[in-house]
Parts: sequence; C-alpha cells; structure tokens
Amino acid sequence: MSFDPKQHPTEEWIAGLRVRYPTERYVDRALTRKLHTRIGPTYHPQTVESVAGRLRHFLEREIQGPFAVSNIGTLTGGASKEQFSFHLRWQDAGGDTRTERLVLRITPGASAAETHRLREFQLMGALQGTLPVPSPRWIDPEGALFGQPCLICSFCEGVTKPSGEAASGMRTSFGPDYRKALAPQFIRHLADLANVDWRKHDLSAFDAPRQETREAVIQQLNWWERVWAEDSVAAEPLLTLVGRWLRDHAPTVDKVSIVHGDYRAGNFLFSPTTLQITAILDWELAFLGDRHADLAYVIDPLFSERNENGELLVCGLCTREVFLDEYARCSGLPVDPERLRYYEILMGWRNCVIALGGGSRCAVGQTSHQDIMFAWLVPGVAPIALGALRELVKDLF
Amino acid sequence: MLIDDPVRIRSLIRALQDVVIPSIAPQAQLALEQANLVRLHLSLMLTQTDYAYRLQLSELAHFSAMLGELIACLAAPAGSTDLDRARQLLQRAEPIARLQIPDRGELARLTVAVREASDRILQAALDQGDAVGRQAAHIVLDYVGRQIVRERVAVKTAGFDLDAAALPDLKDVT
Repeated sequence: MSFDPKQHPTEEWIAGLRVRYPTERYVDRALTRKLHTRIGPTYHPQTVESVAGRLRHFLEREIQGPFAVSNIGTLTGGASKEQFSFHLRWQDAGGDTRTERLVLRITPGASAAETHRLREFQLMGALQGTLPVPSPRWIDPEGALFGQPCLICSFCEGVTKPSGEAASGMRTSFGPDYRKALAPQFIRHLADLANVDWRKHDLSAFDAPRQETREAVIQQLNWWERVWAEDSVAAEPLLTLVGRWLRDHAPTVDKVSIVHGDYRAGNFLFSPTTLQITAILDWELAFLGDRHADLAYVIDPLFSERNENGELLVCGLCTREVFLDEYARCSGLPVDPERLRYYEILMGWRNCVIALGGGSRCAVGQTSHQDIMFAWLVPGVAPIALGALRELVKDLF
Repeated sequence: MLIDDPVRIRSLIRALQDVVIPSIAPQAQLALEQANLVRLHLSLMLTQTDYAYRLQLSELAHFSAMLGELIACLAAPAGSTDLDRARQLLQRAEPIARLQIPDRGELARLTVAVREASDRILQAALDQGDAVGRQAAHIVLDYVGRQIVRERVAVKTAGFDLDAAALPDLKDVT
C-alpha cells in the first residue's frame, strides 16, 4: 500500500483544516482528537477485563463510598462506539444501597462519525422527562481518567427490530401490527423534539446558530466538508458537485431546534410485548438547527422498506405522506417543501460523506474496533447512498 | 472499489485475531484450530491477492508455450481431434497470455489518482461559470450514475439493495 498522508496527519495539516473549516468548538475537539489518535498505535478492541479495571478506577473518583461492578458484557449493534453493559451496586446520597444496570459508551480508536461525548451527555440530560432517553450518569469527556472519552448512562430495556425480522443493517422490516403501534410514537417523539425549549438547558457543548440566518447550515457544511477532507480515501466528484450546490443554496432557519441527526429505525428501542418505544438512542450526531434535517433523514430511501404491497415506507413504518402530515399535525410546525428538499440533499450528501469518508477510513486505516463491519457496510451502503443522492440532484444542473 | 479485497481480508484477520479467537473457550479445541486455520488462509490470500491475476496469466503463457513446443515436436502432425483442439486453444490463449496486466494494487492507485484529477478539473470547471459548470455537472452525473450501477451489482446479493432484483447480473456488467 502506498503512503497515505491522511493516515499520518501532521500538526500543520490539522491546523490548516481547522482554519479552512471552522466548526462548533466541540465538533472541532472531537475531529482534532480523531486525527491525533490516528497517528497512534493500531487500536485493539477493549476486552471485558480491561474495561473492568478502568471502570473501577474511573468510578472510584465519581462515587463516594463502597461500590461493586459486576456482569460486564459487550453490547452489539454499535458500529460507532464500543459499548458495554454492567451492574453497579452502590450507596446513593441517602445511604440506600442501589443496584442498577448501566451502559458504558467508549470512544474507540476511530469511528465512521467522530463525535464528542459531552454533546450527547448534555442532550440526554436536557431531554429527561420530555422524550424516552437513557439517563446520563457520569462522563469522562476527554478520557482523562478512563483513558478514552466515555460516558455512563442507564440501560434501557427493549429491542430495535421485531424478533426474527431480517435487517440489512440500515433498514428494518416491521409487520403491520408493529407499524400501527410504533409509527405514531416515532412521529410524535420527533415532533416533541422540535418543540423542546433548548435554551432552558445546559447545552454548553453546542454553539447555537442564530435564527433567520444561514449559520446552522454553514456549521453543518463546514463540519462534514472537514470530515471529507480528513477521511476520504478517494475523490468522489458527485460529492464535490453537490457540496458546491449546498453552499450556494443554503437556506435560513425559521426556528432553531434540537436535531437528533440520526433519527431512524434501529436507533430506538421498543418493548416487544407492549410495542411502546422505550428509548430514543444515539444522540451523538445531534445539533442545533433546522427540524427539516431530521425529517429529510427519516425519509431517506437508504432507510426505507417496502410493505407487503410493495409500497415504500419511511424507516419501514409509514408512507412519506403520512409521516410528514402527522409530523406537521403533532408538532404544530409547518413542513416547508423547499427546505425539506434542500435538507434531503444535505443529509443524503452527509450520508455519503460518512460512508465513503469515515467508514472507508476506518476500514482502510484499521483504526476502529469494527473494521470488519465497515468493510461489509461501506461497499453495500455507499453505492445506494450515492445513487439516492444522484437521483435527488440530477435535475438541478 | 474503495474497499478492495486487501482491505476486506485485513479486516477479517483483525476480527479473528482481536475478537473471535480470544473468545473461544480453551476446551473448544476444534473451533480454535479451525479459527486459526481461517486466519492463516486469509493471511496467505492477503499476500497473493495483488498478484493473483498476473500469476494466472503467467501460468497461461507458460502452458501455452509448452503446448506450442509439444505440438512442434510431433513427428508427423497428422490431423486428429486432439491436435485440432490443441491448435484452437493455442490460438485463443496466445493473445490473452500476451496481455500486460498491472498488479491490482497498482491499478487501484492509478484509479484513485484519476478520480482525484477528475475532482480537481471539476472544481476548475465549476469556477468557470454557469455554462461550463453545467456541462461538467452533466458529465459527472452521467459517469457517476454508471459507476453506481456497477457497484450496486457487485454487492447485489448482500441484501442491502431494495431494488436488487432489477439489477443486471455481475457477469453481464462491464
């Protein structure tokens, strides 16, 4: 293999990227950390034994009094972060002994989308009582104690797909009973998210864009153009073409909302018996911006599935029309077709950047705990994502 | 293909080494032995994959030359079914055996360089105003569209593609 300068980033190159693509402070921190980590030794996945020792060391600083960690096990399903569940027994502030199952999310050597743990930690805290989200407990945002950035949150019961249903990794197939129960909840939670008064919460890891400006979009374009510059393993002219168009046509934001950024089937848990959504997961890509970004992401064909009659369902749950109409009704917010079209292109472009950029870099660089997952997903997903993007923009030029 | 065979094989070896093999119980000796054999096979394939096609061509050239010499050494080359078939095969094999095929790694590097150059020329075209930019955009959309089909076909059996049934077969794609 020939020398790849992106795999061996210099301080000068990193500094140049930071100037060229100004991003939110904590996005910059995460991306810069990624590049520094890339120079380091080959990353090997955490073992249960190594996690046990580091976890105890970390919790000794966080918990006053005796505690015990047990039943540590790996959790699957995450291509982005290394996840473990464990039981913690400790005494709370009132002196009562408590035992709870918790989740440890660790930033690995590299992932398809590099993000900062503090952002998702703060959001999970802000959304308690509004949406079903895991409860954040402790965080080591820079990895000073644990050795790698990590957070600990509550364990939520539930499944991501019906038992026995096949899943490709991006699409989920729900039967009629599941769809009937889950679709309204899926839509309502997203509608509620857009109406959260985020200014009331500590979201200091986010740089809020101003309403009625293009700042929110420019933040996103800078973020993902920087990722592309850092991670891409080969040029993709379609992304260059669309990136230009997105910058030239960036709309203003009518209302700044919390945007989940990865809202789709597979990123929520539900009870297989009551069919109630028990948790909305994976907040790491969240940002403050235009709600249309989440709407566009949900209706992306990458996550769509056909029903028994061959009808295309967004996230395998309902038709695009039902989704958008119900969202507007539940949120009380308008769905602007022009903005939606713009964000379909933006999020489709971002999907390609993540797959072809971050995903490929992980596989080629051998720097993550899931090289094998990326080597499997990227060739499968990237041409579909590119094809969907091409379809969206083919009449724009 | 951005994720080519060497990348895929390395990821398989890492998964075996880092995750799968350490998780096999020591008493499961057969599983452990076979997992290690899988790792060894993959390691060997990794060293061969760049050169496999070239070596196969060398083998064809080698045996074509031998066949030619064997035919020539026949005392009285009277017609026979075997001889006719041998001559036909030789006629077919010789031009193929003469092909100069680059190693796969070299081919991949050249492709990446051509992609990169295309991207820079596209940017220059977009900087030259609407008319040139639009023309360049159409060229990109056309070529990218055809490459996307090629890549979708390559993985159509993997279950990612909702419309896999509508795609041509891999053997029919050029």
